Amino acid sequence: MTENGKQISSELQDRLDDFFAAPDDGEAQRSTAAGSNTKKSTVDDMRAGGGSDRRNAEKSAAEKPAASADSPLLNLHATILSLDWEITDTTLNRLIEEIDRLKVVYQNDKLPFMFLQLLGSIGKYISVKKVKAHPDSIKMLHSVYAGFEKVLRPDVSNHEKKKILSNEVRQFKSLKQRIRRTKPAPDAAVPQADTTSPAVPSEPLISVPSSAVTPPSGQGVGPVDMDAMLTEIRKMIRSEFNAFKTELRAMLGSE
Amino acid sequence: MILADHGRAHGALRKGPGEGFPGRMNNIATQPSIIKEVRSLDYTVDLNKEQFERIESILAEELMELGVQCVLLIDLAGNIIVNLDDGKVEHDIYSLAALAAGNFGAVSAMAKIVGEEDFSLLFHKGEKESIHFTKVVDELLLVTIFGKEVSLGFLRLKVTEATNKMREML
Amino acid sequence: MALINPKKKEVQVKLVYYGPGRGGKTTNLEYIFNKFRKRITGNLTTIKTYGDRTLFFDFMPMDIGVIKGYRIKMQFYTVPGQVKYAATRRLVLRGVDGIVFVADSMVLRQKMNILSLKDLRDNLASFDKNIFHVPLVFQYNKRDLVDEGIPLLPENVLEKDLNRQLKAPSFAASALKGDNVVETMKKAISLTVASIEKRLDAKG
Repeated sequence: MTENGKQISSELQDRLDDFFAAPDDGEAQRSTAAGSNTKKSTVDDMRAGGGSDRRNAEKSAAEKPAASADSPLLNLHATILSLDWEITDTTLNRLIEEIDRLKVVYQNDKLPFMFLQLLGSIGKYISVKKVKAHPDSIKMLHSVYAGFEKVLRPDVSNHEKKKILSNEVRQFKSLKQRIRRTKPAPDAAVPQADTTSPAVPSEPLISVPSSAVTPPSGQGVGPVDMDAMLTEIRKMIRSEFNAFKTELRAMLGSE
Repeated sequence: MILADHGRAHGALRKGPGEGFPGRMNNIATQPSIIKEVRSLDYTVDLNKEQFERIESILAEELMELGVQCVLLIDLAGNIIVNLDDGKVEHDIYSLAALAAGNFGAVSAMAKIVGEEDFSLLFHKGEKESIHFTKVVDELLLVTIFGKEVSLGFLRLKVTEATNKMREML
Repeated sequence: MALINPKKKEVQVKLVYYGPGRGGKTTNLEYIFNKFRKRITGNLTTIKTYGDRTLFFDFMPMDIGVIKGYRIKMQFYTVPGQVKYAATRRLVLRGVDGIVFVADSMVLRQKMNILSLKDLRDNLASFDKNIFHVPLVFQYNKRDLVDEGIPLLPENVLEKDLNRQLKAPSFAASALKGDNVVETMKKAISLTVASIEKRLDAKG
C-alpha cells in the first residue's frame, strides 16, 4: 500500500471508530416493527395502494364530465386526453381536424362555435411552438374544453354559458399576455415562417378565421401571418364582449 | 466449492442482452465519452465540474422552469449524479434514487422478457404527484417528479429536449 | 462503481449484503439502523413480502463524513435471498463497490451458502467483475443458535466451503444479538473505500 493509501486507511479507520463508538442509548432493543423511521412496504401495502389508486381514478373520472359514447364530442375528448399523454404532430393534427369538423356542426350556434375557435387557436399555437409553447397553453386547452362541454349541457342556463365563455376568453387574453411577456421584443412586421426563430412577432397564436361567425374552409396547420391573426382575435373578443354587455344590460333591464 | 477456475467459469457465462436482463454495454466505441472503462469493463460515470454544471443548467432551464417539483439524474446503480428541486420538498432522494434505479431495472428486465428492447414510457401517476422516468444514455436515468399542474404530454416534450441537449454534451 | 462528484466533493459508495435466503442480511442492516439511529440521517427502506422476506431489496444510506476532502456517502443494499429472485439480485448488484457475504451457520444451510456464493460469482461476472477483485467480507451468522442446541457448521468448515481461495476477511457473528455486526460493516467499508482511493486521488 502507498503512503497515501496508508493515510486514507488510518483516517478512515479513525472515522469509523468514531462513528460506531457508542450506540444510541436504549436503541438496541428496538425492533424494526416499532422503528418509526424504517420505511416498510409489504405486499399488503402495495395492494392497498393499488386499491386506493383505483378508487382515486374512479373518483376523478366521476368528477370529470365524460363524453358519452353517443356524444359528438367523443373524438375531441379522446384527442385532448391523448395529448395529456403525448404531444405529437399526429394528435395535434387530429385535434385541428376534429375542431374543424365540429365547427361545421355548430356553425349556427354561436357559443359553442366560439369555444371551438378558442380551442383551434390554442391547438394551432401548440402545434407550431411544440416544446417552446407556454406550459399554460396545455392547461388552457383543457379548461376551454371543459367549458365547451358544459355549455352543451341542456341544464345550464344561457347566462351561465356566457359567463363560462367570458371567463375562458379572459383566461385566454391573460395567457396571450404571459406569452408576450416571456418572448423577446417582437419584430412585428415579419410574418413568422420559421417557428424556431427566437424573434417572435406580436402574437404566436394562429389560424383564427377572419369572421367570428362564418365557418372557415378546412384549415390545416401551417405558418401564417401572426399580425393578422392577432387583429382578428382582438376583433372577435371585442365584438363578443360588446354582445355580452348588451345582452346583460337587456336582462338586467327586464328584471 | 472451487472458484479457482474463474477464467473458465467466466468464459462459460452468457453475456449481454437476451437473457431477459437489462443489457450491459457491449460496444464500448459507441458509448458517450463520460462512460469510461475502468479495470475489467466496469462502467462508471465520470464527469468533470463543468459537465456537472452544464447538466444542472439544462435541467433547470428545461424542467425546473416548467414547474416540476424535483429532477434527479441517476445512474443505474442508484447513485445520484445531479439533483434539483423547487425548494419546497424534502423527499428522501437517496432512497428515491435507489428505488428508481431498481424499478427501472426491473421494468427493463420485464421489457426484454416480452420481447421489447425497452418501454418508451415509464410513468407513475399519483393523486397529487407523479413520477416520470427516461433513459438519457445507457447508464443514466432522468427521474422527474411533478404535480397536477404540469401536463405529462408537455413534460415528455421537455424531457426529450433536455435529454437531447445532454446527449450532445456527453 | 463509486460515483465521484468533484463539484460537491462527494463519493457515493455501494455496498451490498449478499447471501442465501433467511441468512440475516436484512437483520444486519436493521441492527445498525436501530443502534446508530441518531447518526444515520437517512431511512432504512425495506420492501418485503407478507412473511417478512425481502422482496426487492433493502436500502440504507449512511454518511460517514469527510475523508481526504471527500464526503463518503455509503449506500447499503441487501438482496432478496430466495432462489426465485435471481433477476432482482443481479439488478441490485449493478455498480457494486463492495460485498458482505452473510452465510448461514446452520448445518442444513451448508449447500445454500455455496450455491449463493456461486450465484454471486456468476452475477458479478455478468457485469465483467471478477469476484476475486471485488472487496469482500464474509460473515458467518447465527452463531448464537448454538445456545439453542441447533447444529451449526464449525467456522473452519465454513472457511473451507466459502473462503478457501478468496481468503477474504471473515467474522463469526450474530446479527440478531449484534455480535460482530459493526465489525463486519467497518471492515467492509474500509476495504471498499481503500479500493477506490486511487480514483479519489486522481480527482484531487
